[in-house]
Amino acid sequence: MRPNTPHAVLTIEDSVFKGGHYNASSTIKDTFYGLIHGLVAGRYISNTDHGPSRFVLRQMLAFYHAALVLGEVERDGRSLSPT
Amino acid sequence: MISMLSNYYPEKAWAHVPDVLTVDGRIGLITLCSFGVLCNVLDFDTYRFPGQRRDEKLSPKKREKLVAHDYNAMTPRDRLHCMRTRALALDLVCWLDWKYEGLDWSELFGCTVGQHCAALYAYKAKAEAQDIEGAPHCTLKAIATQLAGIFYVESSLQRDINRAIQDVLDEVDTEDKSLSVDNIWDSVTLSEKDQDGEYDSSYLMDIYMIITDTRVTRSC
Repeated sequence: MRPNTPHAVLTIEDSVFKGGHYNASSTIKDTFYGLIHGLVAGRYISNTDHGPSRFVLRQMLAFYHAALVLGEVERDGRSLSPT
Repeated sequence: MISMLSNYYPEKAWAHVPDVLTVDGRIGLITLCSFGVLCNVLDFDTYRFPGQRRDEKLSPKKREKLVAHDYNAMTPRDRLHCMRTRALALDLVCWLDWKYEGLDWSELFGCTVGQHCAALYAYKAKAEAQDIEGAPHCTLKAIATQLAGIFYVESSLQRDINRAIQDVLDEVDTEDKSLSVDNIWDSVTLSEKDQDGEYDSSYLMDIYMIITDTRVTRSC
């Protein structure tokens, strides 16, 4: 399911959930809009604030900067970064 | 993250990088740069005093520290990470300007950040009017304060942000204030500029200095 998509979870009996999220480069725009909706509408629209996701997005930006500006990722995928 | 991606998926790392030559790729990249600039503003902990519970009222002394000195629940490590992210976002935009012709990247980035800030402000104003509570202790006034202090006051980006918010305040009806920036991005064909030498990131340190000058001093 894309980010920033209204959704609800419904089960027919008591259940335990396990799930996760990921950020896709192709849907960054919607991820950003979702963050704004989360900040403004909070618990009215969501049951969590997804705190760690903001750290992951900051890391994504650092990755893009390293790949594009610093040239630390070669186009064949090999990293030139020592760490 | 570079290490993680290239160790586990050595052939896939580059596939995660947006293609600047496509409209969707550059809108995604610039949107993430806008997030980089706004990462403090969008963090829930920015609006909370350290240790403050959801329903806890602050004493006047704590409120003074939070409002006047931006002493909030973000950890120093996170705040530094945000400063670094902001610098990287600005550097990425400068690099795009250096690398590709066909678009005025700096101007478009200013418009994008301004539109995002204006939409956030208008959206929060509407939510408050309807008594919809967002992030704990995050008020319209607190958001306005954060948006007014992203860069030093004379910088062109801060002027773009202030102007966009002022436009919202001047409008009676903000119903059409959208987060979408698709309309300001023309479908142009980009080409690489002929450049002598490598891109110079040395002024990145200047950006760091500007950011730390305005943000760290406010947090002390």
